[in-house]
Amino acid sequence: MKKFLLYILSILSILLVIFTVLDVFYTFAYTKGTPRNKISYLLSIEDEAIDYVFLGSSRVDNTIDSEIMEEVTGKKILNLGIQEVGLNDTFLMLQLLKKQNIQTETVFIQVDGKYNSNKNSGYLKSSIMPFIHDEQISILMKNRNKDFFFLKYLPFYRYLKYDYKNGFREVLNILLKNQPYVNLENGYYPLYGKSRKQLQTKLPEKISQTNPDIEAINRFAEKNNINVVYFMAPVCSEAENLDFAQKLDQKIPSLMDFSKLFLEKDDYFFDCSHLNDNGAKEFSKILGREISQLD
Amino acid sequence: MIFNSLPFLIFLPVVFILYWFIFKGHTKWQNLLVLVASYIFYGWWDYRFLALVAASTLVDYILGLAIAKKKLLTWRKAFLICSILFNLGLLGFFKYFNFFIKSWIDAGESLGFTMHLETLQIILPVGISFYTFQTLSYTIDVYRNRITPTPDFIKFAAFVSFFPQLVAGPIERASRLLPQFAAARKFNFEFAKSGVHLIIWGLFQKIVIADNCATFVNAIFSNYENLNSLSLTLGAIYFAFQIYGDFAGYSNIAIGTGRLLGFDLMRNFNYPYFSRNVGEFWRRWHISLSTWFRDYLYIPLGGSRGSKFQQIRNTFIIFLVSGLWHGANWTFVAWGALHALFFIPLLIKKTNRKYPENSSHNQIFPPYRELVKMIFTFSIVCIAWVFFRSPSINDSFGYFISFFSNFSFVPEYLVIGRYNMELLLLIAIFVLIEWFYRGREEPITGNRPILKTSLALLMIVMFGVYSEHSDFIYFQF
Repeated sequence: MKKFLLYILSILSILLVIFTVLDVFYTFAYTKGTPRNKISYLLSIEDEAIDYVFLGSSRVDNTIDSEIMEEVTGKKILNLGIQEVGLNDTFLMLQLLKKQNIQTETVFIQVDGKYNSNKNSGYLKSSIMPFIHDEQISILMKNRNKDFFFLKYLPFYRYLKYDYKNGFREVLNILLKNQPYVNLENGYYPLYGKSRKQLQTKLPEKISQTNPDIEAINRFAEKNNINVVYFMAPVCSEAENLDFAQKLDQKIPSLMDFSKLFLEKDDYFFDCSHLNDNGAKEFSKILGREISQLD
Repeated sequence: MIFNSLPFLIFLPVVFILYWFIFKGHTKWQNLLVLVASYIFYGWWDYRFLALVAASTLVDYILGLAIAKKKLLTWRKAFLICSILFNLGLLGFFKYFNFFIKSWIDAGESLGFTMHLETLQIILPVGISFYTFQTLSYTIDVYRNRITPTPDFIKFAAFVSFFPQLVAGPIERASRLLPQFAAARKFNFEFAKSGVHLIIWGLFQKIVIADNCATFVNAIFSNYENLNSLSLTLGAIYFAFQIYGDFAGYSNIAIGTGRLLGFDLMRNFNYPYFSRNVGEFWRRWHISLSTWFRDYLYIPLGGSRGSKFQQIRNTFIIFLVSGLWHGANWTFVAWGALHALFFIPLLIKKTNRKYPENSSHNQIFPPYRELVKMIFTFSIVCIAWVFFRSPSINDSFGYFISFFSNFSFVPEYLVIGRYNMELLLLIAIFVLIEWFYRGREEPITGNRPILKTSLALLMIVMFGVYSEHSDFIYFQF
């Protein structure tokens, strides 16, 4: 039995060595390699001036064509929209902008039915995991993860838990210097044509009394002297409960509502809540002109 | 509780310590511990269904003793029929009730009758197909005077509910496993070490092979209308490796766990994808179920005795029942029927038992002819897997229609953000490992076990799927 216990101990030791070596190796690749996602990119730039930053979900990622907006406004623009993120994640992105000392004139935040929700995005969490040992990021992430202690101190657990996004495949892409799916310097990811699956967009029927994340964003922006403007991107004519935008407008009086902008232009949509490249380019021009007028 | 979960990672060492340190040398107490541990293991999923395991145990314990006690054949037969009715009744109600009702309604409506029958909301208890078959084999063997029934209820209950193989097999025979519960257990280092190797290899099969394939399989089968022939071909191949990795992985972990407690469970898989015909495939795939059907259904039906017609009839019955055993859906019946169609030509030509040994014994590479036979067998098995995996018969045919209507072999990007061919390298590595170690139970034991263990662990950690954790497929059966 003693021999067997020693044998088990040797296997556990091998496992611990594997975890530790891989953790060091993966972290090195993510922190020293060329960024391949928007979080890595944001954490790789510091003390930069970017006039307008756009935050939000895929409805920013696939909608704001930074190059066109730069042409229209003459300002430097960065699209930091990330698929699936909610307002809680947007607040985190705003905090990261501050941490990296990015000087902005205005931060535009896309808001829609997610006003009613306080869910986090797994994608954003996974992207931030390699940087969790950074003191400030550690503070920001502490209350966002129930298993934060294990994520931070158990070697490689943070990569195992989010292996689909942060696993070997992504590390290999970093090592091979494969280009990311999007040009990170402007952040626009176009969708072309029409989706085969026409997703039905259903805006909520009712609106929540308040949204704690919006309140936190407003407090944070005021404290750090950041100008925040909320906007709602277009949806197609098939979207249900289109009057949600009016309800949202009552909660956020300064809201720039573009939800009904393309109601008669369904060919601008990839699916009901995402513009295709043609729609995004047109919207970026219109939004650029509106923003210029704000100035 | 499932093997690749945190609770089991705590549960197993606790049971191991109690078993070998606290109850060492006390067989009865060790059996009681196994029984309690098994009920905790099963109850972790849903404690309400423990009553079913307990009922099955109690009924077959009493009927086993009653059969042995009676000399008169009529009584013995009556008790055996009670056991069969009870076990198949449980299985029939929980697994097939809705299926038969729905099929009856569909059949009636297709003939123009209005049916007013309703299905019930029935939860399928995990492992019911496995433990009912195990207890059935006990009463049948007692009836056939192959074993003497045990008067020790704890021993019998521990045999029925033995946690390593309770929910997904291997389906053990009482004649093999029950005597092990009676014997005094002595810890054997080499035996336990081989158990650890089986567990590691099983985890590799499950977490690295099956779970990686599952991601691609789900993406391909749920979107088959829009994918090209290459993606659909790969979908079938990936599913072949998913179900193999999943089930063989589970079986290896079960056998390994059994060995840690001093039990020798039967082998369930023997490198089935290196088979040279379907007959050989069925001697290497899910061995405990195939041999169960052979011993308790095929041979009583007449087996390979009698006319060719009877042999073909028996083969069809076996494969159709085997298909239905896997699930209450016509897709499984179609899967079984296809295998029967693949098998019958071999039966007629008497080549179904042509390959008793491993392929290319003592050779590194297979001869060209054997390789072609292996590829052909694997291909037809993959065709049948499409039926097994599809949610309905219509989807199965739709899958094949899409193969021809979207005829193209260009690499495609799937909805999961991966190219369809990305897994091929991993599959190729797995096939090569299995090929070179096909003469052994698993690849780790032998020369340089520490190096091989380290490599297996490295691959499990690096290539395993953890964020999309999935249950073992065979739990649903």
